[in-house]
Amino acid sequence: MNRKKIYPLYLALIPAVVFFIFFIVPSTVGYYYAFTNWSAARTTNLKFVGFENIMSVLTSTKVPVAFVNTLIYAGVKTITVTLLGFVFAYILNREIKTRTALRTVYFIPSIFSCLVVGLIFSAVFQTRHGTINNILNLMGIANIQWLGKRGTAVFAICVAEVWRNVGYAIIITLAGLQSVSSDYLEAGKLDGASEWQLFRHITLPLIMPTVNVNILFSLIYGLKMFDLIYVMTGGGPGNATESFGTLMMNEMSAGRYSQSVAVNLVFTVLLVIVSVVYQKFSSRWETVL
Amino acid sequence: MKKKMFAALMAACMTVSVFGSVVTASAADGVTLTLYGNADDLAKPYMQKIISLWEESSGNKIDQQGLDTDNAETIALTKFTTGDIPDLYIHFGNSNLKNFNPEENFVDWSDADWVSDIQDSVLPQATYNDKVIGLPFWEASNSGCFYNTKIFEELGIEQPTTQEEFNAACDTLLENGVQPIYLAAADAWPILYQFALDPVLEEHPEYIEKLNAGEMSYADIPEFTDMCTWFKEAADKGYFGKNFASDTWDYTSEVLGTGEAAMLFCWDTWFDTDYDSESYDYVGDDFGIMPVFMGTCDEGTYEGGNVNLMLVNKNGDNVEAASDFVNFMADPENYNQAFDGVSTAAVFKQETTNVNSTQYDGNKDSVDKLIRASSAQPKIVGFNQQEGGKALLQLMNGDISVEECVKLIDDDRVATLESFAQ
Repeated sequence: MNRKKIYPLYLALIPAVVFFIFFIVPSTVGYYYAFTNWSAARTTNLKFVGFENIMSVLTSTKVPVAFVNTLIYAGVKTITVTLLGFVFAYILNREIKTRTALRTVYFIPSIFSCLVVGLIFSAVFQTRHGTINNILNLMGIANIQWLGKRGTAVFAICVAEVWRNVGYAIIITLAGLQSVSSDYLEAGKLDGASEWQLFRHITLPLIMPTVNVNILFSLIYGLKMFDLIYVMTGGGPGNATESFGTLMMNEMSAGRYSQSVAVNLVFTVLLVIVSVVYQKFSSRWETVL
Repeated sequence: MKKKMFAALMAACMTVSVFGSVVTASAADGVTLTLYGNADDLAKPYMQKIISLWEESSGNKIDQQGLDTDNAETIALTKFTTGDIPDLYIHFGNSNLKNFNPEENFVDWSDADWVSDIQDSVLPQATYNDKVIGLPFWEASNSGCFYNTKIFEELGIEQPTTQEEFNAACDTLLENGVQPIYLAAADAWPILYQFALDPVLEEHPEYIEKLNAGEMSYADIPEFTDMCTWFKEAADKGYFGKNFASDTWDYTSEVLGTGEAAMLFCWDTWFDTDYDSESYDYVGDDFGIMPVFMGTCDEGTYEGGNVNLMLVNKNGDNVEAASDFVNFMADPENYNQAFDGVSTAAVFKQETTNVNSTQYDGNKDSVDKLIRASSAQPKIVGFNQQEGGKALLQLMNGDISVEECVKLIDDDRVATLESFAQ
């Protein structure tokens, strides 16, 4: 017997209260400190200072660098992870003997902690005794300061981040591909559609909701990047690879606690705007058959 | 049955607590002082030694409360602001000390006999508003420029005594295929630009006051610009090698030990505690110390150690006992027992049992003549070795100009100054 339970509406209050207590209250109270004079020199009897800290963040010379870098990390990660995830998932969805083993292998980097990945790629990109430079030296090419110049350092960070995340994208996209009914593909084949046409007009539109999840996750986690940068470059050389995450950390380390929270607040607003805008537009790419 | 067991347990607990309090009282025939400090600092063998010596000698006790190392100062500050002030407090005598209201909270030691026994390069760190506010009791080091004496000898380079001679020595090293200085600039802090500022602040102590009052910026100090210019020119000439932007402190032993680079800005105890003498061609004793030349002081400079201060709560119930402890620590017989065999520069003039570094012993006259108290780091509010190093790296990398670099470092200082002043 298929019994359908309908719970009373007031039961929805329970998760709402939990959400309010454990998320809304802490984050609101946390952001309150952005409007106070909280610092290493003043931890009690805090004063309300209005938008002073927010203005100081917005006029800081370090914020534009962090802003641009954050967008680069998020953009490169989103595009590369989504594309690579799609390509690998498409291949792994085919009849290959080592398919199961390959799926596991590709997913392994995703279970490593950021610290481990950062240390691995620091060793790979290190100027002295780094793996890549050792290979280049064998070919007679001089050392390259991968982590010593902005362009190459940003590149190295992006490579590490993509390597760490592409496994997730593969698994999610693969799940999407496997949910596409073979009936549609067979019907297309009967109508004489080519492989490309099947992909372009059937597979891709049907898995767009899955791809959208990938894009949104990559975008949000790309914008939030901190630990990998912190381990690989510490935001350097100079402030060249700084992101919003490392900027918050630096403010905190300097004892400017309220400014750190202010950076966090500005960053959260940016994150919310990006997420809302993306979700608004991404629904247009989805198809329901 | 359960009720009886519970009652018996309660009775036992009460008996133990009563007996315990009797035991405590009998142990506390003397006084028990409370001491707050960074847990790591309190654990130092010489701290434990001096505490146990005093406890044995006086019959008093010290209740040591080690604060979480990463947040020690913040925790202590919270306790102070809520009125929880211990009898004794250990603080790294930097500009943050003012947050603890030293004049209202701590004993003034300016007239104590032991003040004249403190090394001249250390005493300024124990001073707050011209008053000696605590006893510097800590391990110290002599910072300077360390050089490979064998390489210098092979190339016929004399130890430089002026900025010009230093630059000439660097040029000679370069001509002979040796990187003059290893600068682990990727880590930012090893640039150690505070060394360049000590002589400037010694000559112009008013700069500290004006900087901290917001009446002056780094751009108003010509020597600050000179220092930045020197770093830029040195980088352009190749004094720091080709890879300084990605060089990290981890490779210091290797680069010096293999003779790839000949010099390093550092502190002498590092060669005893960290330098890997076993793996490379050159051992720690192959390195000598000479003054640092960073474009601000023609005769060069050394930097004295950064020390912790033992402070006494002047409003507490046990001022007499706490003061007795500090006077005990400052007694040559006692501190010489505590620092016996410890690798450190002497903080006290009569300190004899410490182990001086080979480098210091090899160039004692020069160090004693040119050593200056660490000033920028502990005295300038908002001085940031890490952020300043980052800005200098950007300058050396050619990303910003000298003026932009000065402004960047100053902006960071001002941000902290304003944040702390709010």
